Amino acid sequence: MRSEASRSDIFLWLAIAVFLGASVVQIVRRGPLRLEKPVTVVSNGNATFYAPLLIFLAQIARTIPPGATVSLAPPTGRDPSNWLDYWVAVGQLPRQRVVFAGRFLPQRSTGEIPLFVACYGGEFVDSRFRLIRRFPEGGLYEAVR
Amino acid sequence: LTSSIFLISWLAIPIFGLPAALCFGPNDSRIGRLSFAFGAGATALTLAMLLLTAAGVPWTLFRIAIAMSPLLLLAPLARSGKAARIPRIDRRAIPGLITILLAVLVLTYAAGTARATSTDLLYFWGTKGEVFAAAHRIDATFLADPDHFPLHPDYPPLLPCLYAWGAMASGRFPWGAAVLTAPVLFILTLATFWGYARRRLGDARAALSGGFLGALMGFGFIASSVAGNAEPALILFETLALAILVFGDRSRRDDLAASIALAGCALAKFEGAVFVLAAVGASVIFEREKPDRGKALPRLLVLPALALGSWLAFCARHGLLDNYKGGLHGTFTLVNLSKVAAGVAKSASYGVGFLPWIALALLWAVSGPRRESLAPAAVAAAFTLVNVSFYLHGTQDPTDWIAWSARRILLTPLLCLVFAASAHGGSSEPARAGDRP
Repeated sequence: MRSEASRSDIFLWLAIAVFLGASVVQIVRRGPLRLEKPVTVVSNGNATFYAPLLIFLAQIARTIPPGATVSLAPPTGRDPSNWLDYWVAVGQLPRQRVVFAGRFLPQRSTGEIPLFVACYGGEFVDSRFRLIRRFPEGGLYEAVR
Repeated sequence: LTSSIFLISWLAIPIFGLPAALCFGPNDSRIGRLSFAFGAGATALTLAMLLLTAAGVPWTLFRIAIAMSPLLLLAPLARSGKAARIPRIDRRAIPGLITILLAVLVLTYAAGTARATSTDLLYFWGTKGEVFAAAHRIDATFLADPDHFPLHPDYPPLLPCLYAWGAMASGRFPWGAAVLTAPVLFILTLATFWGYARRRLGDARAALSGGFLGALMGFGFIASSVAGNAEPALILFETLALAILVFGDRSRRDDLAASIALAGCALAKFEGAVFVLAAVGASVIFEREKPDRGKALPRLLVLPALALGSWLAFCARHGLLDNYKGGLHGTFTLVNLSKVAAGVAKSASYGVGFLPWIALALLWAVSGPRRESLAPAAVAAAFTLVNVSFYLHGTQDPTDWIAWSARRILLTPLLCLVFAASAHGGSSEPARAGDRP
């Protein structure tokens, strides 16, 4: 029993070292080792592609009034039915009401037209909206009244 | 400050589980009892929030506390089965405990620097918690909205409710604090293992096995990016249940303790219900004598059945049933068998050539198979088979779905196999007084 236990003890020590090492390798691979708060919750992980969108939505949240309707739309010409981005926007804009872009784009759709459109990653061309503010990641558009 | 208040509100959750911990938690480990109190408190809190929603009473912290007060009033009356005698920690356990601490530090750094965040936090978990907090209820209107239907309206509500609890306390939902719940739950998981294992394995071996669990699961958490998701909560509840079933004494008290943990599993994730059935089935088949089986089965199943039943009744009332209705992806077919096999194998490798599985197989080979390992190994097998069979429903290519979910789902079989390997720990120390012969 004792030799069996000591053999498995040695094995456990080895395994602990291997997995702690493998964790550290993953950490190093995912970004520079720093002791500072990341800019977003996805800045260093497998979803870094969302970091600019989160920064953009944080600016939108600060810019438009609480309770306003807003839609996150892709640049003109791209499919507006991006469900994943829509769900991210719902979570990041808790004080506003987020409208799914696929409901009112293209123009002939009869869905609810939001007060604001936040266009991420390019230009949004739609006669129903005018640009009111530009950010590095995209623009904010307001419905023409 | 918001993040701090959010996390402090989570530290208050064990208060709600204190009576249950005093009655059913381990009476020889303070930290094990604290973990049990958190698990029981989180389950009770979720059910209280569900009850208030069903009764049409909007949530406030005060109302939730009132709803929980009958439980809290029981605390002074609660007595553990035996007088608590907390043994001092054997000095030989210190190296193992240091490895546990290292595993915690590594995961905390990974989660705190956004290296382990799941996109599902952004899509589902955080969003639901935030919406529920703003609505002061489980927002059935939000869940029933056709635009939100892919968020799985009937997905078990434990984590969104705990998020809503923290968001109401802190005034808004802090995304950065949400990812830090993974190390919090991870610490409780390792504390659970240590608290229960030391009575059977001795301190040194329990600490070393806990260090192994910490290193392996910490790696799994980072490799599969689970920070902010419900996996850390599910793993905590599964650890509680397995620790009680593997290291406990199969008494009525332990069965009810396991039932509380299994209720948490059922409320944490869809796969939690699969784990409940696998764990109860394996425990009854492999760990009980025939005359005891008929009594153990209802004792183990009563609370998870009540908890999940309450949630499903709520969903049925509000037209939210989706996953639990079955048939969402089509009927069982082997048409995608090769894709499923390839996808699951790719996920199971965790990018390190199947190292977790190889390590567990080697540990078994070194220790030699024992009877005590059968139940947790059977849970691993049953859980894996059932979850892989989900991928074999419908004719649509499941490759993306598997890549999205399989790594995280396979954390449960890994956990079960750690228990299977630890159950026959081959203690090199004398058993403590009061241990099972």
